[in-house]
Amino acid sequence: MANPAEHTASLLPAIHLPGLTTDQSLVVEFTWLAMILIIGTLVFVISNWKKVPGGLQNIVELLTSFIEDYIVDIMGPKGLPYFPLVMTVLLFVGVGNYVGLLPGSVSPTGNLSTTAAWALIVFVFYESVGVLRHGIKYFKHFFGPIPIMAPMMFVMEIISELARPFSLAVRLFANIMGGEMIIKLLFSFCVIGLPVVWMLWDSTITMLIQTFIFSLLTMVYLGGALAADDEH
Amino acid sequence: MSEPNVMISAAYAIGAGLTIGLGVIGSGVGIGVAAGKFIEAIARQPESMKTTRTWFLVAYALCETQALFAFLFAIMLFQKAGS
Repeated sequence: MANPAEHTASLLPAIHLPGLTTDQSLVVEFTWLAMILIIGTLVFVISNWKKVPGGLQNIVELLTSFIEDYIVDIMGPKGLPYFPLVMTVLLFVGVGNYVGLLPGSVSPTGNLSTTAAWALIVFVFYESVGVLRHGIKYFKHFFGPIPIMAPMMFVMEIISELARPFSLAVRLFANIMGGEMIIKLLFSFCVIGLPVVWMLWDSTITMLIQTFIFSLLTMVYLGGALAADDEH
Repeated sequence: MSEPNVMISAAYAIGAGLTIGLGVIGSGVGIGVAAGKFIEAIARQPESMKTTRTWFLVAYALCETQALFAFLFAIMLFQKAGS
């Protein structure tokens, strides 16, 4: 079976970006498409802001209040200043997943570089929030509650802390890439019908849940960094 | 001449199959237990649905990760088998 990116490159007039291979340029181009879609839609909605919402504005308001409710549920009211990060993650991951359903496109989130970048952003952000909020005391929770076991706990906590961005990146990447590979596989069996059934399943279940889980874990990790001193 | 290479490729392919096949068992059981307990919880207390759902999704994500690691390693092994 041919490389999926090569297959899509034959359908589109591929734009070679300097210094990148064809499939890397495709990922970058569809990342730009996702960004244009998000920014364009939001600028359009905000410039036509009405007191009585209708159409797109309804969707934007629904999404905003939904995420706000979740933030208050998980982090409490003090988590509300971090709403922009969570919303950005949700929008980009969601739109990035669904861009991959366009014929002849690749998901930007089906590339490990994209998801690793997002996971690192989230990781650095919540660690800095923890340090800025609690100062040096933030590192106390790495040592566990019992002083004698501190060295062992420290190693374990560091490993589990570093596993977080890794699993965050790999989870999204493997889900989306797995879905794309199954689409390509079904296309090689039959061109009409079967792949669409899988795409329907993939888009309604996998992509939605992965989008939600990525932002949910962002909230959970941020909440953990905010509440680091409450346990001691 | 090509006999050892064929054997090594076959070993890679078998390894890939075993990796994904054995790797998903654990996460399948894990997600099953989590989903069962989730349904039990909302059957007992339907009003707790909202908070329970959040933590069910977190547990689901954490269980699923193991299967995805297996998937990743299986693909890496499979690419080696093809080369």
